[in-house]
Amino acid sequence: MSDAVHSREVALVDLLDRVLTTGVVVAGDVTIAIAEVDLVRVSLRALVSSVSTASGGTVGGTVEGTVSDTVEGTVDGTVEGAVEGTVEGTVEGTVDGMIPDRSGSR
Amino acid sequence: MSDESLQWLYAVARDSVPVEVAGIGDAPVRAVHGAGLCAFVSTAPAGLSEAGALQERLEDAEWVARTAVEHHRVVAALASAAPVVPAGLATVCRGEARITATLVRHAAGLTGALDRVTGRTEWGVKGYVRGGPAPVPETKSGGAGTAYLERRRAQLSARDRRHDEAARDADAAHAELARRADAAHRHAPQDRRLTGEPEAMVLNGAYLVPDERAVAFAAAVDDLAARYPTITLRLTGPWPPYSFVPALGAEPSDPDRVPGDTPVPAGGPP
Repeated sequence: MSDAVHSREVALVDLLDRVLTTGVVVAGDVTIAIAEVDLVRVSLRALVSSVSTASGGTVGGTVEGTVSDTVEGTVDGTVEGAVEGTVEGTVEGTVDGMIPDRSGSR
Repeated sequence: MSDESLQWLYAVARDSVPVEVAGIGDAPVRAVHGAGLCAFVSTAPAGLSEAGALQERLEDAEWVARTAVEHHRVVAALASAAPVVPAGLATVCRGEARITATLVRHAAGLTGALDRVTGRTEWGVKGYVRGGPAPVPETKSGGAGTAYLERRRAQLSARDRRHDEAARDADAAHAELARRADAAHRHAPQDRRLTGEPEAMVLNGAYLVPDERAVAFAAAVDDLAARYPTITLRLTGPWPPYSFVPALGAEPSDPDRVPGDTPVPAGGPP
């Protein structure tokens, strides 16, 4: 019993998967060059913050504190620190978020 | 000078269709013809043409979100009227003449892509680990350290196991869905903080399904959800075929590139 939904309402995150996948700025005769991967990462991270702030979700505080605009190294550092620590929400949310291909493992 | 204004590309179709939806920044969407194809564009807001302006905006999550929705509104309207090759977000050219040149250069690829998507629709299927009862943590507060760590380890390993089983079943579900589609693509799983779901995503699939098989495809999603109790499946769509079209733009090694077409750094004046 899946809750399959036919809806014309689109989730922003599903839309971004699609309109950002092929790389981002592709000018016909290029006037603009952008490091695609960095851009997507930055944008999604920033989105994480704004989404959490807006929804006041359960991990909101954690996310804002952890993610923001920090670079990879900073985030990794935070994750490890959190694992040693005691806040469950931080550990799970952060670890899943920062290991993008985790679900690809078997 | 106005011919050098930034043109925002939404999609390419074989023929012009009337567009009643406004584009980015409420600009009117118009058709630009070339190579027997039709590009739908609007003039980007003046502020975007300035050096570095677009990059700056693309770093602004709120702008990206708003613009993605506006872009999609136009693409979806076009896709409901005719087969289209949708453009990714922020596909821009400086001047209408370059839109035409892009159509000409990519004519073969675009025509092939239009053939592939005609009569087909993209559907999304997202799969999540199905939530089970969380292990009840013992409240006994004795020697905190070791007991806590062991409890935690047990919780995490149960969680990992559940995740692995779900991932394996998601692979099987994807294979089955792909078999029912003309093309399939797995996007990276979405961050749980973006999905707002309590459980991790294990499948973020896109499927290009012939329209006459759309109903059967939706039924297959239900069947698979019943077959694999480890995962929850959600169908999204219909989508314009975003996940199944080539990127429009200049490939770095484009052999047809003519001198003077060399990419210049962002905002750099030609």
